[in-house]
Amino acid sequence: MLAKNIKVLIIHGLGIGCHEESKQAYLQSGVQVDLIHFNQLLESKEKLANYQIINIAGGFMHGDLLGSAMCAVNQLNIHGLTDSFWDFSEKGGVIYGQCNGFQLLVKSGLLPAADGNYSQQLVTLAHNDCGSYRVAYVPHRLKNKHFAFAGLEDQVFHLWCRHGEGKLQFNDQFSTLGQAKTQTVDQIMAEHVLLEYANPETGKSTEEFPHNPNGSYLGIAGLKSSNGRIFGQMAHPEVSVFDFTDPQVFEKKEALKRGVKTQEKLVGKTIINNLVNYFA
Amino acid sequence: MPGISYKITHKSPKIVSYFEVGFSKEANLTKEVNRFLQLSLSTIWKSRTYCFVHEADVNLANLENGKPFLDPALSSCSFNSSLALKISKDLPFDYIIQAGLKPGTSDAEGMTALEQAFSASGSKLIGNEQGFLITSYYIDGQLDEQQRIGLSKFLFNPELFESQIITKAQFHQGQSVILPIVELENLMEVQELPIADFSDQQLLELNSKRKLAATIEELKYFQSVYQNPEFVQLRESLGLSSKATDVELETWFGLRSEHCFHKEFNARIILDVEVDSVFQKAIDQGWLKQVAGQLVLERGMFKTFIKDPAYAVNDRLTARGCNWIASMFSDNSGVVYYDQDFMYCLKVETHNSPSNIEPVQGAKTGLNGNFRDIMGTMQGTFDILMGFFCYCTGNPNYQGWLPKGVKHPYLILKGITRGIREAGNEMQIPTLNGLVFSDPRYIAKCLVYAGAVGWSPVKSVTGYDYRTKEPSPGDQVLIAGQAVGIDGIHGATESSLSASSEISLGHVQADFSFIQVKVKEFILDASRQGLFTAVTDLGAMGLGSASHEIARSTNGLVMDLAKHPVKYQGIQPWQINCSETQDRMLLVSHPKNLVKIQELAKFYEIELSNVGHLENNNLIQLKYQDKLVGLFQINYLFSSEPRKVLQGKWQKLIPANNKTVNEVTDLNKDLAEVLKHPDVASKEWFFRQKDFSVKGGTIIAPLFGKKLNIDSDATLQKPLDTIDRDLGALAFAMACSPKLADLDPYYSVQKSYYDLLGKILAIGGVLPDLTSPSWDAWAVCGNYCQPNSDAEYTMDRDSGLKNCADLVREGIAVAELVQEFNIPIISGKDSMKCSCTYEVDASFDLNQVPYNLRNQIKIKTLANGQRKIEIHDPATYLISGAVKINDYRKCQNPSFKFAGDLVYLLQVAPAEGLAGSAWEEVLNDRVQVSSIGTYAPIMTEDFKALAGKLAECFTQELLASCAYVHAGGLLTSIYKSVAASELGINLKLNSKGRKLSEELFSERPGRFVVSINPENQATFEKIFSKEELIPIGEVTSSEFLVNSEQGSWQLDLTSLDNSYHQTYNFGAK
Repeated sequence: MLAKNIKVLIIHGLGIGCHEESKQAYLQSGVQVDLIHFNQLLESKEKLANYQIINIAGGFMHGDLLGSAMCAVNQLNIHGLTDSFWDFSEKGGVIYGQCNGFQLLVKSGLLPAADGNYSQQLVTLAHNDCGSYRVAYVPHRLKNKHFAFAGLEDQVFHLWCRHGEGKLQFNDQFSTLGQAKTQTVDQIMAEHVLLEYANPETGKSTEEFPHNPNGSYLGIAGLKSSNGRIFGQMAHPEVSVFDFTDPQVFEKKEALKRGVKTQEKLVGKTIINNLVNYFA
Repeated sequence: MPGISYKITHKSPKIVSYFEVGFSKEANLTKEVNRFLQLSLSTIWKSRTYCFVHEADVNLANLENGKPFLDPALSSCSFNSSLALKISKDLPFDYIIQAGLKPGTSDAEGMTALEQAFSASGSKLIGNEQGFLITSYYIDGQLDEQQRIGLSKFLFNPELFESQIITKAQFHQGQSVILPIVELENLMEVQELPIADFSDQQLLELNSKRKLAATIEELKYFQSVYQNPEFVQLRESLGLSSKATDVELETWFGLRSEHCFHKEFNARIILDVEVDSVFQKAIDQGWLKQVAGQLVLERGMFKTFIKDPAYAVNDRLTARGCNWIASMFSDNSGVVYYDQDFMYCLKVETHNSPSNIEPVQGAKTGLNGNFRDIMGTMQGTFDILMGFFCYCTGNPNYQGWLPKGVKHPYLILKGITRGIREAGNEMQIPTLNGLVFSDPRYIAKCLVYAGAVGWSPVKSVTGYDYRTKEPSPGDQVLIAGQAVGIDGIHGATESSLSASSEISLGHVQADFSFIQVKVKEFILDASRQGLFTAVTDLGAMGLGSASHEIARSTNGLVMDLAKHPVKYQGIQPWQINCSETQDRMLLVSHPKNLVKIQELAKFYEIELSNVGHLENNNLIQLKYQDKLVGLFQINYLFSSEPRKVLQGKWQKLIPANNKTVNEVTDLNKDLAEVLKHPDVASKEWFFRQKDFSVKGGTIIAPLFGKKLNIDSDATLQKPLDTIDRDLGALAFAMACSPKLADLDPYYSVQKSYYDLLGKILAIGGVLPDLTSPSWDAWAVCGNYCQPNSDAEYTMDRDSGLKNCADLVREGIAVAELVQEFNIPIISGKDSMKCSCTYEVDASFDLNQVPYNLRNQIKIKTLANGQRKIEIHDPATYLISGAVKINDYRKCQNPSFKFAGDLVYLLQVAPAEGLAGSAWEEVLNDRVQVSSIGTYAPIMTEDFKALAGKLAECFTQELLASCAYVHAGGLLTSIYKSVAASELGINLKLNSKGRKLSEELFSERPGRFVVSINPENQATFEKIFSKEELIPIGEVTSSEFLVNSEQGSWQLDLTSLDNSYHQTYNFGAK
């Protein structure tokens, strides 16, 4: 499929805040992009078939009231959209969530959906250990190979993280999930972990602040479904499509002027272009 | 039944359903309360209980095990029972401290939970249901009664919440809690007052009874309207008696409050002063007139010092071509052109009074209100690009005396930070800049500035012009957003009073950001389709202010107050018109667009009501259903009569000569103390919790450096619309020098203006050039937070007189600079009552007060023997600017780039004077004596010349780094460049006989530190004169060395880093 024939659906509305920059990020790869309001989506599931990619961008849907993405997941369930999303990916479509979008995929059960069972939420994204919302440019590494992250293997790359509820955990002391579910941890670690927060010196995954900005268990930063077509992470690659969003942009510019080469890869652009190539 | 149950009191067929969700272990909170309240609690657990009041035939029980309440990996959930009894494991606790919002306050989470629960259970809301969130903290640890009360106040501000403490024993016996339902008698009553016959005494009694905050002249002016036979006749012909209704009374004085009417900024000011060079210049300019030995500011502050100079610049820009001013003073924000296709706007608000009482919601409603100003500019087509803040509080690490009822500065600062964070993050607006100042006077009244920049195309793709705001008679008036409650009554009048322990707290409100988010999405969509003729926001005085202001554009309005949705029954008509319930916008549309607008509102989940239409008969007619309840003649309602007259008196302060004590000795210690100073210290803690990269256009973030932990001065953002279009971007900076105002507010404003320019120039900005037309746009906003300047209403009359004269001196500085730089102040706000009075008891001892507050307190003994104190904030002028940059690729940041680079100081004039500097306060602290030194002004022409040369360096890309020297002086600036780069410097200073401390720590404006690639040395040096350019060393790979005639030091970077970061390090680590 030619890039110009690939259609991307970006959900907006109800407090989603990153749809415009996500649109820009996709547009630079030459695809078609439609912004669809969350409520519109609830009423027209059949429209999904027109698209190859559904992007659920970051934001503060429903103001994070009742917990991040809780209201949105409630609405997805009520309208049967969770099933539609699953079918969409089974039929070859890709669903990609960033930040609030990732929280939605996790709390709806669509991620990690071990053994293809998405009816139960297995993990969650709890409040950051540091006690607050936090903005940081965070080192990541790829844990399991994934088509969208091709070319990013075996290296540490930085992405913007900006969230208050990003600590990935399997269960809590007073959660109803209980200990029984922890047996799935190994399976999830082996198959479903997409990204990890990394210590840039060792290149290994880390639970230590600040490289791990939220205290995520084993440094888990992103998840994928078994077929890889549902995936997401807390970070915001849609920002890292343009060189000026690198906090070291002036340092790199000066280095370049003096003939010192710096790593030039724009991670967000790589991911989006990989997604487009996936359908090529 | 053991546990907590929730009930309603009144007899009602409705029932209560509730879900308790928890428990989360609050480790950070436990640490914080243990530290702040000196407790030793082992753990605090938190749960949230969602309580719903609804019809008996709805059953929600099936939601216990699913969304929207249960996150199975995080929590458990119980239905109509206490969660602690349901969970299999014992929850260790001794007390429960729980609270819900006070009755009538918007409960965003409770109402959202209600909607989600009904939706999930398949039940339909019929509109009379209510949802409440009760937050419970389960405390593990023994506390005495005082400690319990202290903890309860820490967890829940009593101004906003109703809390209760439940012991473990009470919990196990069973405890029932009454939900905060507003029960008002559903009786509409419009009171009438025979105002025409009132004596002066009766007028004054009415004034204090209804908290009108009016003077006797203003009361009599209102009275005179009802004494006019023509008006009486008109009233009678429309079915109203000659008496004033409460709707009229409350609306009139709300609209004409200082907050809404800017009486002091329009006042005639008479000054009793010794004419110095500053006043002489103002006389020469014709701004002030000498009359009988006094100086008179005839046209008032606003017209003389802000409006006239701005229009003069407007004319000059028009004459040169490419006038980038699109709109000034007439709208909710000032608008400039980015280029021929786009425009951007700027507005900064203050929300001081509410933030003093309830910091979180005060600040949150402040920033959200400011966002609404952007949304309510022109036809509502502006998206919001960025937000920013400035906080002035006491030192959060302060320990000592506090006036009764005043919150500790830590609680204030933490609260307002949370409020600004929530508003910005929830609205998904990047917070791109911020300043924080500390002074003991701000303990009594803190200042919270919140601002935003908006962005809009000039025209739609089909060529429809978005710039006009010209509604026509017959246009419909619509309100979008929250239903109205009794929250926020008297906000406008009360913020027009000085703070005191007696101030009524009725104007505390909670924000419902989620509604505002949806309103924004709706308005942006509809306005860009050209569906509105005008849009404005509801802020102070709510519906009354927004609709009556809009009525001025066509000269008439008919409005039915009953059409505005209410949160509960029994709200009186005057309350509907005057309530400041948040998150509402007023829209005006041609009737033909109504259907389309209503469809869009439904789509975006917006409650929209059509409350009336515009007229052109000079009348505002307020109805409640069919009955007329209020009538105004527009020309009287908005008449500037009676004009206020203020008196001022000014005497030059003689600066202290502290030159004998200020030489540096141990530079490591000296710099460490400067870096710890609250005006200098790292604001990483503030910035990290406010999203600064959403919208995807942030180029220079509020933090820079390898570790992203050094404060930026100016920030830079590329609007998304321009990404494939040009290389332009918007730079943004702020400046404020409150401490210098103690010497002379004229200098303080001057320095702030220069600092703003300097910060923008240091990243690559250029000053407007009148010789060649270009889009060198500067949108600049000036915000005055002024201590009480009306001597008649100041406890200590002399300070009132001085404050008034100070205000005029600030005005003179602004007007001069605008004239010189052709950068007008296109928007702003005056907050005129930044003072407070408190009664103190016999035990009050001035010696308990910190040394630097002691001589700022005025004391007066009252007739009853009680004493009263008065504290005035410093005259705090904040200037903010959003500036067009043509090529973002040519910008720079202050971080050093390569070892071997040459470092220079570029200066308009050498370092001189320490007045208002951080170093001066460090020295004062050491000897515990307040004194203020000298300030050396600079020449505008020299500044312009240097700015031009600096711009040349940017054009040629000669600079590897550039920093503007301000708070903390030269050495602080260099420290930041070193720390950001993780490189070193070998600094070689030749202070040529001047004091090293002045060289290193003076904050005199007009100085820059740059580094360059040695290859560029010859080209670079040629640009500047010898006086402007001082080589000061070179960048090294490590080590921070300072060499001077007075000595050499190796500075310890690790320890300096700790100092820089320790002042505002409140966890989150």
